[in-house]
Amino acid sequence: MMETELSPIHSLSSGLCEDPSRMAASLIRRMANDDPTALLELYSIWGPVFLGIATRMLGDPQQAEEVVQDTFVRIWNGSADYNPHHSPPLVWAFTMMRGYCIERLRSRNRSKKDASRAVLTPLSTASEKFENPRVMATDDYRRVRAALNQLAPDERGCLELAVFLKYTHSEILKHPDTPIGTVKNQLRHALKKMRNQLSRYEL
Amino acid sequence: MNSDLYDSAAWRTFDMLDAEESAIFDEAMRHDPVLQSAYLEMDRLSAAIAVTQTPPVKPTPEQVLRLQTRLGLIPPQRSHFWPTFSGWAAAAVLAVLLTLHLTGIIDRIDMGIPGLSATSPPPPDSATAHDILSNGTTRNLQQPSTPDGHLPITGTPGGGNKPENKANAKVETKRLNQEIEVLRDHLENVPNHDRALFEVVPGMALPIVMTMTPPGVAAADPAFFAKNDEHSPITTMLGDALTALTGPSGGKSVVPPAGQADRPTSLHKLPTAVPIYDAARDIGTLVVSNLPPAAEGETYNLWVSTATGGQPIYVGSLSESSASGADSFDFSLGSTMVLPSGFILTKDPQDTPASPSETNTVLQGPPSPPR
Repeated sequence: MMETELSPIHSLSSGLCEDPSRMAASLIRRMANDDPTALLELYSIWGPVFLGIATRMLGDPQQAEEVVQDTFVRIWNGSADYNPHHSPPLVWAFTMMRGYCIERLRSRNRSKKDASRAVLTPLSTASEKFENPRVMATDDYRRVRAALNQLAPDERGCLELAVFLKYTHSEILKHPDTPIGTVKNQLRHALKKMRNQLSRYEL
Repeated sequence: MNSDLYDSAAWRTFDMLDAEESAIFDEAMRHDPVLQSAYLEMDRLSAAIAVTQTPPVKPTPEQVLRLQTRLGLIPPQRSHFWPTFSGWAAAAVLAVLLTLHLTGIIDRIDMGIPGLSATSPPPPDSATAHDILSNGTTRNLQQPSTPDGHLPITGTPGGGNKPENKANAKVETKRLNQEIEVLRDHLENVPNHDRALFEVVPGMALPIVMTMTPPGVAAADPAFFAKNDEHSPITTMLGDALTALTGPSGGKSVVPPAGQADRPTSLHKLPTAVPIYDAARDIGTLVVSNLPPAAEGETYNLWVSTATGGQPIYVGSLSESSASGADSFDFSLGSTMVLPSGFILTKDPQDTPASPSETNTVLQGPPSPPR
């Protein structure tokens, strides 16, 4: 069977993680006005998701809590400077949290004291019951899940591990036997397929 | 559209670039809006995948409280671990009482009470207070008295520095109280961290790793683990996690307990196995060491037991082991719903696996508790 050439299409997934109701942006604005109830509300929406992601990235619930706390402290302190035109609130906060996780992983690898990472894996694939429309639009959940389902198991596994920071530069240095070329190839294919699949939804 | 652009953005997003490459990328992104857009798109995709593929973990009320406290939205509240607290509080009270007692002695000396030497005591300096606290005794105050019945108090003559002594004592007491507070906080944090590290994360599971030993070999038999792990492939594989079992000597020179000097030799070639099982994916590997090849017409069978009890579940039989007796076997339990609490390896006639019993069990894990 001839493999279809997949070409990347620009800004196909630009609608992902948007804040259509502008609820998160509004909460961040309230935080900029020193409204602590806005912080609590945003934490009640994003906190569980961020804790789950950080726990999976770091494999340590204690550190995950610290990282999520750091993220919310930075959201609180940087709420006045947040510009929703640069990136959606969820992406802005997620990128910050991922940065903190990367710092922790690098620090572990530098100190060599606790370089081991027990990678937690979900006991069951996240299903519809975990969907929270206040975190991300229901349609986005559906689109991403459908796009992931199109991937070959290897590609999907590889992409998920990359998202959860399994293939960071410091991790690869620690495991020189990791076939980085293969990993990058699988990721490249997976990302192309994802973008193309997501573009179909856009159309 | 250049797909390399997306690749670079992806490698940057997943932190797969080294420091120099990252710096070059960031610099390029500052001047190139298309690259910025590609990077943002990767961030969106990454966030969406992470959110979609991760079950949420509900924060505890304490976590919310800690965040609010950190931001100064509510005044700090201490969670009291009363046994610890009362211990330190007792120490603090003791320190204050002893300090006051010292001050009382000073006062008595100053007033010229008979029975006490004319010399004044030294100020209750930090060393004295520290000794009292750290030793838990009043050693310095209970030294044998001098032959004339006076306390052997030495120091500068005269009692003109009483207010100074009192002030010093107050300062010292305050300092000690602060130290006690800091130490108490540290002490509280140690169990908290350990508890959090190993607490169950809803919906998540760690891979299960355990050591299987012959029946009757206790878990804490250092001689057994020292000898058997020395050349085990699993020791290399798992690193410090297993070598720690052999104690601080690193498994090279464990001295057996008295009366067991002959045990290392007799246990040297006993078989062991380490099952590693990822319940989330139902993928497992059994690494065996020193397992002799099964006799003609016999086979090794792997069983799994669960915390719910009942009969062990048959997993499968091991294909023929290598000549060296060290090999690994992949297995799965057929369901991610089975959470093993133990593994058993039996030796049975081929094709007729019998339920594990005392007679056919070769290895079991976790090892028997120490006697």
